[in-house]
Amino acid sequence: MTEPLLRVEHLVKYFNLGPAFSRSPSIVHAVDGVSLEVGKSETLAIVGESGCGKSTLGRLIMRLINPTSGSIRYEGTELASLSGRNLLPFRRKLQIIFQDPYGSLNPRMTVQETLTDLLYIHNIASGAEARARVGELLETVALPASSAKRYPHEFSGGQRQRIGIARALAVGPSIIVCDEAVSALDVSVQAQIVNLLEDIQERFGIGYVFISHDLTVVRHMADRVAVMYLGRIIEQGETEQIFARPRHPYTRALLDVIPVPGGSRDLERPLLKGEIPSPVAPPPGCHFNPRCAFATDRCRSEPPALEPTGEGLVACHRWREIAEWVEPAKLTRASDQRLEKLQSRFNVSREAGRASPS
Amino acid sequence: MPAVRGVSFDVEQGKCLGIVGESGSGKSVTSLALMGLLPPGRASLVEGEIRFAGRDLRKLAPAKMRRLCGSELAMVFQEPMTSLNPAFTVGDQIMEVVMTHEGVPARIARARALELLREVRIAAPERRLDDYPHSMSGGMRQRVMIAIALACRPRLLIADEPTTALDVTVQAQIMELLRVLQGEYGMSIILISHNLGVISEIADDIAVMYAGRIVERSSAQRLFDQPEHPYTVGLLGAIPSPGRERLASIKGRVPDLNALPSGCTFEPRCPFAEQKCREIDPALAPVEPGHFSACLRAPLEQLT
Repeated sequence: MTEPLLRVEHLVKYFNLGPAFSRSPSIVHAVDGVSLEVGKSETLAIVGESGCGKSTLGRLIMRLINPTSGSIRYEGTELASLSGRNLLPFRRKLQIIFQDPYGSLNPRMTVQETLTDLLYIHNIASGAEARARVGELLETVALPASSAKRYPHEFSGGQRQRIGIARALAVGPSIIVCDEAVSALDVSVQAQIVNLLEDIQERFGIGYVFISHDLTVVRHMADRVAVMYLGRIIEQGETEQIFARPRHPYTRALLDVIPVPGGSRDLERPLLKGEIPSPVAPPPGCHFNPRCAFATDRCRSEPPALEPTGEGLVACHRWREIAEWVEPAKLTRASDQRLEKLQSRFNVSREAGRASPS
Repeated sequence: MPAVRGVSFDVEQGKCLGIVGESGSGKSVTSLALMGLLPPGRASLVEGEIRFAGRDLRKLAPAKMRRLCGSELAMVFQEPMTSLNPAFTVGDQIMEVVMTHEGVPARIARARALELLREVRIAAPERRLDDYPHSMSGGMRQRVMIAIALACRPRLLIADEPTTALDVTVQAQIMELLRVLQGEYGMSIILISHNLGVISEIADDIAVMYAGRIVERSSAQRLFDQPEHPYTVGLLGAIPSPGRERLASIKGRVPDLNALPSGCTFEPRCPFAEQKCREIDPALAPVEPGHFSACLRAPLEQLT
């Protein structure tokens, strides 16, 4: 098997929340043995509710925080053990887009200063060459060239996210971690950014690690999906399979509650009870057992391993039985020709590479 | 600066009206105006009529309005942590509402608070009654907010983005709770959200707001099946759905309320706009009985 662009194996991150030097440390298993891989032009979505460890995973992949154990390999090179100067060349290859671009842009620097600084630090370009590169980047994310001289506060949320994308693209990455990159945006702006991310992927062949809690966007964007619960991946597979034939009871529950405009939830289907438990004291056995309608004594004592189902991977002792009992929710809504025709009049053309005022 | 311009709607007894719109569309200002919560004085001028059960709320004396708010009209906000007082237990905060509006002694109010926590399906309510808001999860805090809103069995509940900050599974629980409680109490709900999916869960009727106006209003089913305003069409197309290769993107962004375009406010972003749209600002007009659209080109049938 050829080496994928990014391969993460048995990645673990523990945080000690207790007081320093305490005899009884309070350990959070934020990421607990996660393995995944991402290839060129591929989108792997990491989904889960708040506290499941998906953002920590993104930060680990970026080496913004150091893993407790495990391996992160980029084109075969181990990054987990690298530090400082040795890591710098790989920082160019792995980039991240955050949920709140305003928090990740220096308010006292113009867009041009932010971007040229970056090009200079990574030894990519300086002077007039850097300024020309900034122009290209702004064009790629469809911002007017005049934006270069403006400060972050002068932009709307959607435009700031475009700047965040330009910042990530500036160093020519192969992998971009999108951490809830479109979650805070209004629907119409979200659509613009989703389209832009897709265009950029097509143009530059970038692999995305798309971290999101929004399953409708994930279904649209992702090639493969990994579902996380309390630090562990509990199901992984092709997007089509995850949405049509989810195997884990938690994945099913997540799909059951996607609000579909114009279609209402099937009231016969019981809702998932309770909320995600505290990661400081996760339930023994399968972490999901207290909320699971199918849990048995085995589930309460023995943690299930991620095992192949023939289509994907699932960590559930009872997935085979459950698959026979319960049909997954139907999420589709009949398409309507009149509506589709009307919608086709909106701007559905490719955006990247061509400046259009926004 | 007009934040909301000429908005009219009505909510029937026991029904739910969903108000949908993006940020800056004026949906929250509308709800605050209904509750009389906008700061009085020159900063905000509210004009028009708000009739509740036959009375014009804007003509009521402040003391009367205060009595009405919380007893017959109640509101649930997006961020329960900023609406709950961190220095008091949730029990105290529910009791305060009951004691203020019903004038009952503390002992009875406490029993009522316990009952309310049970009604909003909080597990082990006896233990939770003396908890402070910070020790509760987001979903549980929102349940407490709903308990406070329901304390006096209101006839109209205004819920402004009640689930926006919550996880999807918790969001579904809260929406389910609102749906069940609406049935039990027979109350009307105005649900404000930017998420058409959430609105679709319980709304009987939907009003779509854009730049301070209602641009389309109809029954929920009809709005999804046959939208008659280009903005609604674009919004529906911007939501990812299976089999949709490319999302419809409405070009540009919501206009600045200080510099609204002449003619139709959606015209600069509208793919169906023509000359007359730049000149005439269309009013909300019926396309069919019960279905209103503020578009000169409606019905959009001819444009497909």
